[in-house]
Amino acid sequence: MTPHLTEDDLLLHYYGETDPSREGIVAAHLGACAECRASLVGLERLLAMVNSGVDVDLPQTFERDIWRRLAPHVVRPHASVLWSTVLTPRWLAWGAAAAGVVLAVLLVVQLRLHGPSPRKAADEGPHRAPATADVFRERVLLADLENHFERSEMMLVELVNTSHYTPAEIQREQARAEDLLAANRLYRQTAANVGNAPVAHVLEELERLLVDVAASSPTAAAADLEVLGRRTESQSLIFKVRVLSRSTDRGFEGPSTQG
Amino acid sequence: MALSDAAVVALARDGDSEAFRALVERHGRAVFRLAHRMTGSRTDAEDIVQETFIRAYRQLSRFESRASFGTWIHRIAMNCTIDLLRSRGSYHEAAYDDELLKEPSIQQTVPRAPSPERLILSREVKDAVQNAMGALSPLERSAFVLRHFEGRSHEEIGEALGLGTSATKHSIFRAVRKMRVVLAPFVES
Repeated sequence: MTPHLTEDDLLLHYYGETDPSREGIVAAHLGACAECRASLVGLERLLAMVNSGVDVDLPQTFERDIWRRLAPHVVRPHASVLWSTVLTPRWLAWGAAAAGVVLAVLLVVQLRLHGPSPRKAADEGPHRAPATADVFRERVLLADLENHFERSEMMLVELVNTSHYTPAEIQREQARAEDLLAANRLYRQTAANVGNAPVAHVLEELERLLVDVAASSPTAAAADLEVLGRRTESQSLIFKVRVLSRSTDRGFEGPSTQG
Repeated sequence: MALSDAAVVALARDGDSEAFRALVERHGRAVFRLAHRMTGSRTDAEDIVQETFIRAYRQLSRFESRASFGTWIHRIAMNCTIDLLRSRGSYHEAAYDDELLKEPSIQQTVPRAPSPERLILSREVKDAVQNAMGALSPLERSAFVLRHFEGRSHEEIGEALGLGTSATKHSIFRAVRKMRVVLAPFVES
């Protein structure tokens, strides 16, 4: 009898890839050798086990989930589709909210620039109902602005003080920056429109930073954020935002200095 | 009756995104399976599915309708997977050395002999197989998957992986040996 078959011989035999010059020898040996036949059965069982265990179960929503990821890359919306997307209730709600913010800021800034001070209006008593309503609305809007500055300040403080970002922290910072960015843009445009240059200037600096944080590349995000943190520090951006925040609290006079 | 892949591809080429979606729905699972078998990672496999179909979408005009879309998309998926593995820098062929099979890292993955009752638990077998596949290098794993599951010839695999025929065979031999070591308790009982 020929020498026992190696595991490699058996594997080639299993896949039908034995060299034609050896096929006869291998077949004859397997016919005569119970030990090699048993080894071949063991190999078949091993590969059958691999067949049965290698795949993971996929959810029924697999195709839908994959399409959701793919669609932005492969679907080019034409004008009518774009409009029908924009005119969905969700986008209309966002648009309305954005318009509301613009109006609110316009109102607040105009009141501060041209209208009576809240304290004075409040002092004039309840017989001035419209002025009181204005004051109330103004206070609500100022609180909103103040909230924006406070959130921005918190983000900047973390940016300056964090030296090693985990992927989860990067994602969180990017999401936060995106969130702040939309509102910041509106506040900055409004401040510029009503001629409040110091406020517009600080908001513009803040916006540039938010854009950079939100757009930092996934691969270099940790290093990017650390650089941005140093930039924030060197530009004293936290200080300026803090001044704006306090000014808003006192009635939105804006920082008196730039730099 | 459902349209053939060739007909759906023709529609997709004309910019019909729903047609392309139909192709994704028909072939997405198979692409995922291939990618998952080759990488062992669900997340990587999902990324590969996405990348595969994006590449396919961009190259639709180059697809010849005489060919099988399934075969074509499989080839793209295989290339995407190999690109991903190469980009990780972990794509090296281990030396053909049986001593490696005695490495503690591999020996440690051998589970204790299971009882017959435990054997019936397919979950356990699945885990053991995943464990065994996980013990392979990316190259061994890719070569084995392409041979065993995809039915590719040694020459095709060698071409895809940038290996000679002999090195390709050895990668597959080594993969099977390693898996045999890890799965021996299950196979023997």
